Amino acid sequence: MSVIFGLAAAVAVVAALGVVVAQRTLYSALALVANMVALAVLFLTLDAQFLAAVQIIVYAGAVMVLFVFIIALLSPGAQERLHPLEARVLIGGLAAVAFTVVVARLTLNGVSVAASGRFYGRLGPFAPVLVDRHGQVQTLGEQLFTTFLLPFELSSLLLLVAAVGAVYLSRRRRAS
Amino acid sequence: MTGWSVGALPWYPLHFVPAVDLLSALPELIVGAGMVLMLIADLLVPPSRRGILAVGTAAVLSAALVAVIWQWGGAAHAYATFDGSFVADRFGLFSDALILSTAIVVVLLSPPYLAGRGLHAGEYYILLLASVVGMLTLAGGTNLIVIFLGVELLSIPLYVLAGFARDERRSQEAGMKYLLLGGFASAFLLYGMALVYGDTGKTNLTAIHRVLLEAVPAGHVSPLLMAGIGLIGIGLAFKVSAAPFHWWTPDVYEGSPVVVTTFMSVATKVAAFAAFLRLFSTTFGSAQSGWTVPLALVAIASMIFGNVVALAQRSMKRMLAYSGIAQAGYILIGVAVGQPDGTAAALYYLAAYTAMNTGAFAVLTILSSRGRECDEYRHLRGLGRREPFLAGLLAIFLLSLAGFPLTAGFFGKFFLFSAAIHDGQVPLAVWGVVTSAVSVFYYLRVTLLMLGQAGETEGMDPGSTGGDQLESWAVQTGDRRAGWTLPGRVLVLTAAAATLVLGIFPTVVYGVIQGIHAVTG
Repeated sequence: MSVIFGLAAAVAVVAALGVVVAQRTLYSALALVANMVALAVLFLTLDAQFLAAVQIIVYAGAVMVLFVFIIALLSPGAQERLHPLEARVLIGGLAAVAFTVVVARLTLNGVSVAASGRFYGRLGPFAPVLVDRHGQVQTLGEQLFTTFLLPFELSSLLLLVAAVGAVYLSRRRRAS
Repeated sequence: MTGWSVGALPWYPLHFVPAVDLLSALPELIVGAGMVLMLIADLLVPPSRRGILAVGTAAVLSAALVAVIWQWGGAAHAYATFDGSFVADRFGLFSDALILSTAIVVVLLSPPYLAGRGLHAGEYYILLLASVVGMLTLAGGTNLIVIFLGVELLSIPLYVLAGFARDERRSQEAGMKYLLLGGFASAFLLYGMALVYGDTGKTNLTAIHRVLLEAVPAGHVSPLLMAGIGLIGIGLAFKVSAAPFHWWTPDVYEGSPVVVTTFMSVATKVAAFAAFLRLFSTTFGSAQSGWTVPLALVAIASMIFGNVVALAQRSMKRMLAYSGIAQAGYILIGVAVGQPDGTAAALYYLAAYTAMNTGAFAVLTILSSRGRECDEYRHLRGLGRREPFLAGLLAIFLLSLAGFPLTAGFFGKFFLFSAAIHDGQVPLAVWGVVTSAVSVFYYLRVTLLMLGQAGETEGMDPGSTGGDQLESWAVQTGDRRAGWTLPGRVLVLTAAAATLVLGIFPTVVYGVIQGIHAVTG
């Protein structure tokens, strides 16, 4: 498991670097896709299956399609080269370092949940046993088909009728 | 870390199975299934025979109406199912019956009208059925999530239906305006719900009701909760088109095909008021001192604005739109008064409104089924001689809207105003009576217009193309058969009969309504 985790983490880092370094915007976008898929694999190894699925569907799927669509629409040429000492490069670098420090500290010291005011260590309520139970898609499905059965079915009907309406409005007019 | 592979997962049984009673949602299930059925039928039915779809849709709606009547007996002590998110109580069922009746009338009147305007597409029936599912859900929803989804399911098909005449600029404008302002209203509604959830931690109305019951006597109602209630009220006021949240109404009503306008103006209002009453009179009832004054102000503003601006209209749809704003104001009196008199009076008025407004629009639909929209006042001039029967029926509906005795509108207003006086909210009743007197002018104006000569051109530019249009319109009305179908005849007569029964024997319906109250769980 840790091998897969390590590999995925390495791919994520390389892909993230690729986003910044790539010469063409489209390559940056593709590197971002690789990064998001690698992150999804990380979630999977951490027993967060639903998060992994959402990561693929929403980010790697919908959001990236939008990105690529906009890139294709604006069709930027070769990128202007950034000087390594330019202000925005420096600011961006500083922000990245600060973010890394914060995340590292949180990871090493455990996460405190502000809402309840109690301190939660790494073996607190998010211990592997509990993550195992509640992070699973099973829990979510169970809720969807019991407590939230009616809203779930209503949403599906809503999506269906939205599609029907969109097809009607955009359909080419028939020769009459 | 263990337990990654699925095989290693321990099986957790369903530890909690909420009460899911599918029978309580029978009307919704019938209409929803009917919608899917029509989706398939649309592919099989040849374009020239789309009337079959109308008959099928009406059959589905009638089946749902039968289900509602069947549920009525057992609904006296109904409790919420689907984990407390939906209830088939008599309050909801009564609203369901009004919504379904309106939908049946609209569907059966649609084919000749839509065919006449070249709009007869199968999607019309599918969208309409989906909207009905949303309305029925809204009338019985006892959970904020379900209520929100009901509002959306009601609205999204209506956005498309408002723009159903895709090639006409006014219809496009109506669809777009309704979409933008409807989305705006939904945002208010959702934000309000989020605040209520944020404060109470609950989405079930029963639980919210309980929180309020404890908080109000102790004086611990948080501003967050009151802000949430206020925003929910604004969101719903948009949907019932109460002033000052009514700006979309005239343009959308005017631009939409008249059958859609009928459905929109009656069924939407009934469903939204059902949710309004359930939320405000019951759930937020204990916090009434906090919202009753703003709500009364909205009611008064709607009555004044709707009735005064309606005076200046020259289009039937716009006049009925402003009249609808005024009617929303009257019904809001019932919400502001609260349980139990206010709720009963509001339900009675909704029944009266369904009969008279559906009837008035049905006559317009029949007149419009001859190829051209019969909308402007001048189109109605002399109708009394050309078609005395239709003109007479339209007169009954208009007089009822004005609140003349022996019609439904009279007792509708009587119950509302007396409930207001009974509750000590005399200004509401006074403003109601004053604005009703104003409304008589514009309703009578149309009625008298129908008695006039067809050739008179008073108020028209003699040189404009209007004269030609009028002429061609008159030529088209020569085909008196079009639109005047058997179902059309039966339905308009039924609406007229309902208007008179509600106006002459009010106890028939009021006796049924009197004991009803909206339950939350």
